[in-house]
Amino acid sequence: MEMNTRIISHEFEYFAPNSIQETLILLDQHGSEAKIIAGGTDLVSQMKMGKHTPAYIIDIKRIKELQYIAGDMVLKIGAGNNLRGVMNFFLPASVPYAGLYESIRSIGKTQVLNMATIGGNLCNGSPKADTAPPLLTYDARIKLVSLKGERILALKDFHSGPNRTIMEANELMTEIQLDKLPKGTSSAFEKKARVGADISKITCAVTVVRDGDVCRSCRIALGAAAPVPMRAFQAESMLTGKIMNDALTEETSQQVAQEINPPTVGRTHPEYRRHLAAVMFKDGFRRAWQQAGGGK
Amino acid sequence: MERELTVVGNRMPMLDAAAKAKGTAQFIDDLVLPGMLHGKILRSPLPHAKILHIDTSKAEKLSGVKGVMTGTDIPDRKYGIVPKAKDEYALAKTKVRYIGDEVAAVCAVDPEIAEEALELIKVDYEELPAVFDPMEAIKEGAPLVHADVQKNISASIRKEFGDVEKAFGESDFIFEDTFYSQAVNHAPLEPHGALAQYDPKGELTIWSSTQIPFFLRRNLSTTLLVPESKLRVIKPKVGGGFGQKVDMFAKDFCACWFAMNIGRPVKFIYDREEVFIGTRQRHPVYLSVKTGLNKEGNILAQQFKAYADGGAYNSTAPVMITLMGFFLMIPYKVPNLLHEGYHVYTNKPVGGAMRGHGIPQARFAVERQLDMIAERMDLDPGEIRIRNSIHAGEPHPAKFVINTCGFVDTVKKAAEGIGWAQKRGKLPFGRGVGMAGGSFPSGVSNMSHISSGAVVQLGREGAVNVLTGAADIGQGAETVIGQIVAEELGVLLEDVRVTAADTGITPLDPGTFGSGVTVRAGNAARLAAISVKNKLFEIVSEKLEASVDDLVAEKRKIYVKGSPDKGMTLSDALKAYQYGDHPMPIVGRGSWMAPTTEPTTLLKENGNFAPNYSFMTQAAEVEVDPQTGRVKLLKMAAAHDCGKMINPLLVEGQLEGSVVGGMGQALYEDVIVEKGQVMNPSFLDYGFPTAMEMPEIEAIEVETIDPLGPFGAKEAGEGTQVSPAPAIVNAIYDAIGIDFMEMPVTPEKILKALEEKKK
Amino acid sequence: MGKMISFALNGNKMAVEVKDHWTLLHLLREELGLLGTKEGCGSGECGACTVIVDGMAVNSCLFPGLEIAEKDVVTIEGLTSPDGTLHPLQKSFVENGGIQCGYCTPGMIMSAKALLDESPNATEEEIKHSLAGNICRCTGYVQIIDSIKSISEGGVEEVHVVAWKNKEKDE
Repeated sequence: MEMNTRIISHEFEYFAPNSIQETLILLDQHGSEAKIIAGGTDLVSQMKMGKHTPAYIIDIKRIKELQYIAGDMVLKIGAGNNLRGVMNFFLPASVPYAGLYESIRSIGKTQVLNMATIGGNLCNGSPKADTAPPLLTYDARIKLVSLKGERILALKDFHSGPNRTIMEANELMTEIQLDKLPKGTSSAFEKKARVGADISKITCAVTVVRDGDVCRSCRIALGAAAPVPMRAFQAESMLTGKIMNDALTEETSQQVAQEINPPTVGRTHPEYRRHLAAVMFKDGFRRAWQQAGGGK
Repeated sequence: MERELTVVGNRMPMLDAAAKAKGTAQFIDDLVLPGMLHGKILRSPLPHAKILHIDTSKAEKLSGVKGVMTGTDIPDRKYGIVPKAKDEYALAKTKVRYIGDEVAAVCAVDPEIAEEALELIKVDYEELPAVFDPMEAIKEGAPLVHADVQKNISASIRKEFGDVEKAFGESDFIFEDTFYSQAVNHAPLEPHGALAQYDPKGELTIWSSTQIPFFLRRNLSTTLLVPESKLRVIKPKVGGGFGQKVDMFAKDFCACWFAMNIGRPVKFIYDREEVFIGTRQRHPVYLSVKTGLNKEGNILAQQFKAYADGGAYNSTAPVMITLMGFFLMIPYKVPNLLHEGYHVYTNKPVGGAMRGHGIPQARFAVERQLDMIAERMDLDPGEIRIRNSIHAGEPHPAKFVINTCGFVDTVKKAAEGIGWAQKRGKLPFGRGVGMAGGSFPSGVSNMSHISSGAVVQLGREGAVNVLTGAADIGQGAETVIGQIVAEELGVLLEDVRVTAADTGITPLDPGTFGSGVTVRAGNAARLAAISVKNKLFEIVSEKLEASVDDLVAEKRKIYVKGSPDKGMTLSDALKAYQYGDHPMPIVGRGSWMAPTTEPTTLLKENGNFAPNYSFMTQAAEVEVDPQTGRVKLLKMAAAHDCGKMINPLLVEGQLEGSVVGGMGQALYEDVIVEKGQVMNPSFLDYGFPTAMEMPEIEAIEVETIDPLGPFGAKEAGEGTQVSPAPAIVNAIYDAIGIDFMEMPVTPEKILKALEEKKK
Repeated sequence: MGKMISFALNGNKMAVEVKDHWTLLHLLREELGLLGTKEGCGSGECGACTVIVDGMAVNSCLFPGLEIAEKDVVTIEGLTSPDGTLHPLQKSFVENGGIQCGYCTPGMIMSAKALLDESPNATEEEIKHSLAGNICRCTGYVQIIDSIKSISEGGVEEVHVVAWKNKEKDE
């Protein structure tokens, strides 16, 4: 039986490097025996229950180099920003990124927003990670760095399975990159859970580029809908360049429901998740569409 | 009344609120003794298994471990809160009966070493077939959870009032429906704990997060084979209980056992998962209700059948199924009732007392069915409730004595509060209002400990010290008792110190359950205060040359009624008493039990069951999103007749807490068990309402002055919990036209039902 | 393993040896004897262990003890003045019934303090949101929110959402 102890019951060595370089050296030395801790909201509770027993913990909270949000054509978000900081940066006023703002706000618990980081939210690999769907709809890229060099890849290629990513043990995620969104873009995030501050049953983010009645493009991503956070590419393609009407939204929502790959085990029935996915797409699309200008 | 009340009836902060706000209030985990060790419990990973062998040798050798114990070490004495239903050992002796059953315990110099030692204990089990549903468990050939209990029915009751068969024969309408009320966890914020210390002279002291110190003392005494006279149970601050801290647990026994055998203080604190799986939960119950009515909508007969899923042990089983049945007789007039209740063992977590104790499950079924009947008979749900209400002073079919009853008023005022006339049946699809009634005893007067004692001492400068056995678990019992004493003695609340719930010091008290504290312990304290007052009045009447009957005690003064100038301070009166002809300390004693005929015969004969009864109606307004199935509780109007409110601030707190609790039960909470394994034993997975779900709550007072309650008070604790859940489910019917027969009403169920309705 | 770190605790600078695997909650309760901060779940779900680190409410049960090096930590003990005077929030919780069993109280008050330090005039909606990580099983949250609102609205005396109706006495 898993027991949640009052301290982290196994001993480990704790490092608090002040720079990316220091971190990379530590990662290089300790590799798979080490775990990076950012906010600790997931990792520490799992360590307390004995799910992880790393010999080394590398706390990257002190690294100022990871805490920035800047850029014009490409917006660069340091992976070490806490969720609260990111949320406040993208206040709802910044319409294009409203979905990201909403996804963080939906996490609810203030303490978690204060502690958890955006990099950590992605790196723990959970299919439920709230920030993943909106970032996927922004075609976000992530930067992974190791002593051997750096690589930049699309977020959609990052998650490799439930609670798994393609990140190597010696790598550190340093940055999330967002291309500037074209004029007429807006986004929205929908979440269904039991109570407000609950873990997600299913989430959906929609980013739409609007030109009058025409949908230039629409990107749709879902969380807790498949083994990894996912894009609904086929559904997206149904909207590109189309004049929007209710029938088309409805039809697309059915495609979204088809496209997800919900877990068959667990307490939520897959059909119910499919239904929710369709509803949430419609709600999210409607809001994003309206925010993008005018609306019906 | 002689004069205006000055302390009773006021909104007053709890006596210990400041200490709690500062963080200085001491809960069990805040107690530290020199040389203290820490204990942990090994629990069964199997739902049903024989214990073949336990090897503790490795654990014993671990550095820092000071003791390991198993079921074979302890006396062959079972315990349980109900004497006739004892079926538990602190540690399993020969077999385990649910995932979480206690198998062994370790104590060590710190909790982490104790935890590590648990992993070194090797237990050989022989797995046995298990049973997880009560309806399966009662079938012939089902695995027996306890070998000596046939069909796994460990407690049952069949009680008939009147002649049900005859009354059904005379009924114009008969309706029969079945319902299910799910398991929910009390989840007090403070996890359960115990700390025991043994002194060389042979006295054992235990601090425990308990609601019932005196029951705990009795259970510990019989299982540890230590006389009650050598056992002292002290209740520190308790961080919520809701019934979950009524029972004795392994942590209590093992802390004592280790303390006695090792000679050092030992503390056990359960973690959150243990609270979820290894303590108690609200009994899941399958219910069927058959109701016969005449054309006017008056209930003529009701037949009620309940199968409670008790899990692996009895806990309060016989009490629970009895309460469930007897309190079907309020708040409606049911001239003929047949109640059959069964408590069934399964290989699952154990059911126990939880706020309302069996009554909320029954009320869910009855209040739901009443709405369905109203619909079928084309009556307004409010009207059918009013029409069937019992009334004060009228003969009661079960011979309950109802001195005060504000039920009809609560229906009317709750309806008014929610805007019933404008809304019921008139809101757009997806919006609806619903109501549910209820009634609750202020402490049952016929089972178990039924009396409270109190001592009031008046000391120098008018300081008042009250000794009461009542157990404050956060509801404010000590404050309410303090107010009652202050009012009676004419002092300020700040003059009163309440010393409570210490079996070595305070008088006997049944503890906190059955919602009886205010009436029972409050009356005892009031009598003790009156005794003190009488002594003072005697001397003051001599000094003032006034009749005792003309004296009033108020605001630290005793004076002649109508002439405030003619009097003396309490402090001077005390001096006069002590330096005069009565050189004795002033000590008043009081004991109180509800007037009751034959406490033990009620199962056979009819008679009164409680000193008085509270009445309430809650009306809910909900919004259902037909797209996602999500329900939002917008508002709850809660009208409550709890007699005279001793402290409205605390009554509101009870009421609001129960609304959110009822919302949890109706919409979110569910202890999900698969093959005996609790699947959601954490706050995260369980889904409590947070501040973000909180609806608007309007609390509406319907005050009656009850002749038996202290200053007219009735209960305001558990009764508030019976109506919110059915009110919400009834409102969902009004919103979308679907009758839900089981809780929780999740979005998934709503969507499914909406789809089926379309077909 | 342990490391010597210095930090400010309730305004007092101190240097303490902290073991690598200690949480902040363990450090506060078991090592420094500050028992006001409570543990309700140990996994960051109930908020009873909330303390303020560099102005932000955090769950001390998940917060690595070593992470407070060179930071400011404020616990419930830091709110009461040395002479025993309650912080306005503490006073408000006492007077408005925001406390029943009291186990969630220190965490609730710390969450409320972090909110009001940042937005002194927080609205009811903001208050509810800021408490989403603090579970209370007794109060139904009403009187807790009242307690905070009475401060954020500038000490308005009668701020109860709930008002008893039908005040007339004597039936």
